[in-house]
Amino acid sequence: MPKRIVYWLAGIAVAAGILTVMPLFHVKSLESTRQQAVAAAFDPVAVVDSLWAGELRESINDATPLPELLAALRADPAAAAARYGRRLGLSGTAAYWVSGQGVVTAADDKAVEIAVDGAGDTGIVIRLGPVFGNAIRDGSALLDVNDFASTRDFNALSVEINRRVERDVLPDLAAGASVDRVIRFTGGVEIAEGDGAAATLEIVPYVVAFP
Amino acid sequence: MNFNRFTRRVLVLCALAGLALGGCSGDDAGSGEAASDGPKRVAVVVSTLNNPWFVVLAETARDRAAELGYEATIFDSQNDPAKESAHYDNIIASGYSAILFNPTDADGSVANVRRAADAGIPVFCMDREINATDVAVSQIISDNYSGAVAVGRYFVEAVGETGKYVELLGLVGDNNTWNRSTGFHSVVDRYEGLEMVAQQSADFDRARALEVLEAVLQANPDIDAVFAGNDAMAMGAYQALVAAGKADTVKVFGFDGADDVVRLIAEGKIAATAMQFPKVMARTAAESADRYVNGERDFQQKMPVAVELVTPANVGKYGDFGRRQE
Repeated sequence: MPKRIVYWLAGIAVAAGILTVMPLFHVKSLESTRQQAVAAAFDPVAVVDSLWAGELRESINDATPLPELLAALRADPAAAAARYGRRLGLSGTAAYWVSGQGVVTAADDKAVEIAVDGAGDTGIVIRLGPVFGNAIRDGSALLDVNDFASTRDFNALSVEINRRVERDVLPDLAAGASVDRVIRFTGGVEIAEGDGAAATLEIVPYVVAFP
Repeated sequence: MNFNRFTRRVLVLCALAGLALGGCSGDDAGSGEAASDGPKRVAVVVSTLNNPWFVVLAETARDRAAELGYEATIFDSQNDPAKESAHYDNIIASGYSAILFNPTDADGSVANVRRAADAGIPVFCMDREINATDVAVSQIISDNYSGAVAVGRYFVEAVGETGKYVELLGLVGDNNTWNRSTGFHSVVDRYEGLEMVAQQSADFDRARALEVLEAVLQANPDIDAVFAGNDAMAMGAYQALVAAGKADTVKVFGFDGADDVVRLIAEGKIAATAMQFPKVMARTAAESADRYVNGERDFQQKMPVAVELVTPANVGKYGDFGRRQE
């Protein structure tokens, strides 16, 4: 074999060796990629477990007193939403994290109505289930859609939070609520744009207590 | 410096390998340069133009980009990821300044966006999201889940707590399909008396929805309602019900806020829809792209846009793919 060919072959072998050690690209099967994705599947229960017992509890004292929010909404709804509320993206609805104390004025198997001290004409209602919407997820301002891979994951958190409210909060409320009884609560509320002076606000409670 | 012939050849081969590597990145850089030096052009890549809602989305994006001084071109992917990928090949090779993108598939479209990003072309998703948060500059997307929760609550109010219904799903690879379905079921599944007798995909397509519902009605002639994952399918379902003589007894619920459905809600023929705001999303995407081209880099990755329930009680406020005052 001519020397030139030997040199070329040797050169190609060396280059091949370099490329073997440092390949230009890696080939992965779609199946393995899909399996990795499944393995990294989002677990909303775990996220809410942590949130429920940790940051939400710590944020109870950060809740806006309902009379303060209502006064601000009556004075200037846009300014109140900007100061106290949280809007998701380009949403007209703002969610708030609120607390209040009042007296139960009506209670049945569907809802509890409360006259909150300092709330003026605005009635407060807590429905005894099912719970829908994003009042606690968005009102608490503890979760950011940009921290999640997809909106499906972000929405799964609302489902789980609402389930937790139904399981852990509403039974105590249903058992304890009776007309004229004093009640204290902290929770989320969603208020649509233009509903600043709504006659009734629907609270989704994180905690309720009968002091 | 002296090299023997063998060493020279090894160096030549290594240099060739290096050129191959460098050549790849050189091409990418070239696209970016072309984007900044050439005429400012924006590509609007839309999943389909076979649906008036997406025509509005694409044309609004194109028109807003044109108002901002760009030469804008619409690329129709025809709900085909392969066509979408070919569009990206052309767009990257042509050195566009930005892409306003309505994806065909939340997972499958990620690679296209990544290729554009690697080539220095910013991508702004409209209406539909992709399942990655590190490739598009921003994703301006409908808050489908909350909209579907609102539709679900109205569905229970209008249909009652007992009855049989059919769900028509959109494209199964699209996150919007599942956000709408999950939001709707998060409400309706809480009522044991509401029975879903069929759940089938009609690919967001009116003709397909007509076929699917006609077939479903053969086996389930006694349904009370249809929830369609978009208004094109709601229209197809309504057509099937008219043909079957059941349009007056079966309630149809859609999603999108398309003009023909809004009109039928006003006439009392369709029960409700969820108004998305394609013009708001398209304009926001075009304006974001313009700000990016002009140097801004601070964008939220996800920008949900609220969806509003449209019923006979408030239908007068809506039309032309948004609120009337818009």
